[in-house]
Amino acid sequence: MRTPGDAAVSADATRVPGDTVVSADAARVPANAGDVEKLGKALSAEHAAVFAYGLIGARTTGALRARVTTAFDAHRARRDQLRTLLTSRGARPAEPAASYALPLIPSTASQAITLAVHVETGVTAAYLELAAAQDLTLRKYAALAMQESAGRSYAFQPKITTAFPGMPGGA
Amino acid sequence: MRPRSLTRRAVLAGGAAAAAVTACSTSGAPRPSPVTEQPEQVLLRTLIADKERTVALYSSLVAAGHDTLAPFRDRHQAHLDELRKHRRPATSSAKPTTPAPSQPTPTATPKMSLPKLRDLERRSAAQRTRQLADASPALAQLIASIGACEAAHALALPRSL
Repeated sequence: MRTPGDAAVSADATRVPGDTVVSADAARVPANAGDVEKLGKALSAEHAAVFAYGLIGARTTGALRARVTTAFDAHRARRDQLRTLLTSRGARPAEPAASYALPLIPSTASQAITLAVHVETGVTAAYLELAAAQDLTLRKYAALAMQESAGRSYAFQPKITTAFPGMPGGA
Repeated sequence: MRPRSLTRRAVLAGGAAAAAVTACSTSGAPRPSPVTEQPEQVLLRTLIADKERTVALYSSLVAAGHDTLAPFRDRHQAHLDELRKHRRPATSSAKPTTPAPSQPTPTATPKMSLPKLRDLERRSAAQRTRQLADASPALAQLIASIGACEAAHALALPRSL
């Protein structure tokens, strides 16, 4: 089953060769194949998050819906930034998959929250990989995104389950 | 149990004080670098000293009866344990990082309010994003993960003790 966190692994569109040159871009950054791959995985996670929050937003109301909309916007912004980071490295950003397998289709507020936390967990894990990039700006970007998603996850469900967000098994 | 934890706290607080003195004497001027230490090990020393201070602070609050803070202290302790795993054993020429003091310092029982604690967590999280340069990929991931935990802490700290 595909989850937002590992969507990058299975989404074939993400297999963008690191050396694909788009055009002579003014803001070209020296591309590192490993970094480009990590960016691609983060982008896939954000694609999945945008998909999931779109669905959650359609199935929630009131204050929860407002929070879901805020999260949706935040992930869309990250998605666009990741696209830019990839293009500036001469790589072609992957398009989103037509749909993503989700652990559940929420029909109650509590299920919506469960799914939102699941999405944030997957996103945090994807950014953990990017935190290992060679490029320092990408590390910082990833670290900030992780803080954002960990905080958002807590806002949805006030519970801290691990001392090491994003890490497999919490350690 | 109590005397034991007190001793440990004393040691940690003393270490923190020593670290603070070191930080003051080197800030603003280039590091004299008496021994050629790997940048990552220098970074780790800072991170560990910082975490030791935080653990000591939470420990003193837990010891003062604020049990709700115990999970926070435990997670900081887990961070500290993981950071220490990255620490390379000091070479013979390297100075011990935290010379054990003989007495507890007055800073061992600080007056701490929740807003201050929240601020500490927030500042720690912000600091993590600036500590990624000299880290190996694995350590960078650990630091980023710790920062995410601290960011959640800032939200999760109770409204009242």
